[in-house]
Amino acid sequence: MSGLAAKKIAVRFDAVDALKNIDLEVPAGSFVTLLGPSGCGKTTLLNVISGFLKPTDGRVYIDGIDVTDTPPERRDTALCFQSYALFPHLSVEENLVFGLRQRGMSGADRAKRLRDVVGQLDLGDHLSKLPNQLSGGQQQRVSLGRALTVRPSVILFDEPLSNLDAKLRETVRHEIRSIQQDFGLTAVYVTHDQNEALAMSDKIFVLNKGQLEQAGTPQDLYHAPRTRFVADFVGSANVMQARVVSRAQVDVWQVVTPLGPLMVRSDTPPEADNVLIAWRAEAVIMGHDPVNAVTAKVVRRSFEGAYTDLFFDVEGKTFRVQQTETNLVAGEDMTFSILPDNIVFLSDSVSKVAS
Amino acid sequence: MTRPSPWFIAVLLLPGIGLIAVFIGAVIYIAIAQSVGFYNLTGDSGFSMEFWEKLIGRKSYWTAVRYSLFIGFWAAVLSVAVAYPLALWLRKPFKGSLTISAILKAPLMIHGIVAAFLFLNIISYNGLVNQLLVWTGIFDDPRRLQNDSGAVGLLFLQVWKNMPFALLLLTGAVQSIPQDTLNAAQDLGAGTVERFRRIIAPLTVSAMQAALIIVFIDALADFTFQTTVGPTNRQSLSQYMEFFRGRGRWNEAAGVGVTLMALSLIGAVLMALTARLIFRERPIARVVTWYETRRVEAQT
Ligand SMILES: Nc1ncnc2c1ncn2[C@@H]1O[C@H](COP(=O)(O)OP(=O)(O)OP(=O)(O)O)[C@@H](O)[C@H]1O
Ligand SMILES: [Mg+2]
Repeated sequence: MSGLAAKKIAVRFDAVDALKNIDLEVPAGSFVTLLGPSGCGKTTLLNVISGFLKPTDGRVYIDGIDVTDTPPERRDTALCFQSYALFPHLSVEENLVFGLRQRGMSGADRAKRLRDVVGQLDLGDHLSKLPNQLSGGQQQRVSLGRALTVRPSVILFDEPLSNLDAKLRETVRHEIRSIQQDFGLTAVYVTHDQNEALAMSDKIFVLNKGQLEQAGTPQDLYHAPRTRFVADFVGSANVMQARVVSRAQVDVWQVVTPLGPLMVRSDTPPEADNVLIAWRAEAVIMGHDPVNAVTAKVVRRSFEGAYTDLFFDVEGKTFRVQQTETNLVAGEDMTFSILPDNIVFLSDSVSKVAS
Repeated sequence: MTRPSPWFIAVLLLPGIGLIAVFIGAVIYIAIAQSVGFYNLTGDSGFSMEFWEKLIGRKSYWTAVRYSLFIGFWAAVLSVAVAYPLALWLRKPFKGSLTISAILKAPLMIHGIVAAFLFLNIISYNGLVNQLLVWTGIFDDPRRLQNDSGAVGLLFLQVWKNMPFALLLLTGAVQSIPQDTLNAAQDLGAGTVERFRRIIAPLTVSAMQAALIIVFIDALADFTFQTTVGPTNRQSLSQYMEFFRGRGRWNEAAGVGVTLMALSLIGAVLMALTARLIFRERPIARVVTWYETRRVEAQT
């Protein structure tokens, strides 16, 4: 199999389990994102893939070859560092061809690769500058170019955009994705920004405390989160407890929740009688619908530009509803309904979450 | 806060730096003046190139110059060469690393003459080294290792004494390189040697230059080690100077002194420049790159 595979990776630092039993598959040419909060082990996993860290357990394969014992300098991976890590004493040009020199490529081939990448990333005006003479965005592009010139089997990104301002971040995000597609690169991208992950990835692996929470396409994760963590971390869904009362149809369950009785349509049955369910703030219809109607008082309203968040409290918990157009203000009652299709059963048991 | 006037600063500095400048200036002036016939302690004073002519005409003068340069050069290069791996090894703290680095710096606190006698004892005819070599069967009988004519023992002692200086300077420099930078180089295919050549050495070249200069000047003017463990058939410049002084030939002694000062300056500058050229400027690589780019441009 070509591409990248990591099988049953475990990393232990003294008493801390930084990674536990991680399985990662990145088919050749695809763009995979590792998403998770700070300290969940994203960088650690990248270090295992690029060879800077030997896993306590598990193997790493690149294009089907076991590279677990291959040192970083002989692995066909290239890493884009969060800090850029450009060589401060070398010109942009020398930074860009560094990897090619190490591979002993001839001057003519080097010049050709350089021209390609310089054109792609629009670095032509900066070739003779030193890194400290560049803006953050330019440095970021050099760091990207330095990894691209070697045409690695696997390219790795460790939060490459976190030092850029919001506007630039969006531009470069698209740049990275289109370059990855043009070159057919196999990419692993680390971020803690769910928007970035959703927008860029073919597949997302959500990590939490060193463990894999869920893997799937952006749509899967967004619409069918399996755990409370994923539901909350990806797009901050509303999560609440529910008691299953009856099975109304093959794929429809009747549950009782703090918001009242609701119908849930799900391909998978709930794992217990007391479960957690999640629904997306924007997946509601305003107005009185015969199914799953909820009435609540708006306690806070927050205009976010493209949409408006409306908050309401039930049993001491705050819920959020999102509308693109609304005249509702705080203090008013609103009635909306959550379609049964838009509610999902989570697999964490209630007791586990409560503890 | 307003900045005090530069004159005021100069006046404040005068008792310290001013005094140093006066003393150094006086020494250099006397040495140069004496070497051209002034301040003659025994005969008539007056300008004369006679002492220089005599000095330059002597074969032993040139032998001493060559020998001192040899010791200075190799002491500097070897000290730096030994200090680098140690500095890199101690770059990231680990259990016991503080103790190790303290032990490595111990020679700074042991006086040269003490170290020299200790060393003599260890390598003496009945000393530890001979015992060990005979016991392991490498030597059939003890051999004379003291004052070897190749100056190996002397250089060893020079490195032992001077390496900590280099280590002190290089440790700081090496620690200031971010781990990410080294990882980036390794990730792009640079092994240990290439990482040193392309990243570590260029980024620490200033500390390397400082270390080379300090060790070079110290070893060039060595008297203590040379007279205790150095080859007996050779004379260092300091020894040569002492030889003249002992015979009351102050003008020639001053000539050798001036030679020492000049060589210190020139040698230090040359070593520093060479280090920078090799590791930072990379003139040959630049020419090759320029040529190759030209060729590619010509083809297209
Ligand atoms: N060398 C190390 N020694 C001990 N613990 C470590 C080491 N490196 C990382 N850890 C621990 O492993 C865990 C995962 O760290 P890691 O750097 O992979 O997190 P991350 O997901 O990249 O976080 P961030 O988003 O903040 O970069 C953390 O709890 C961290 O403290
Ligand atoms: Mg990280």
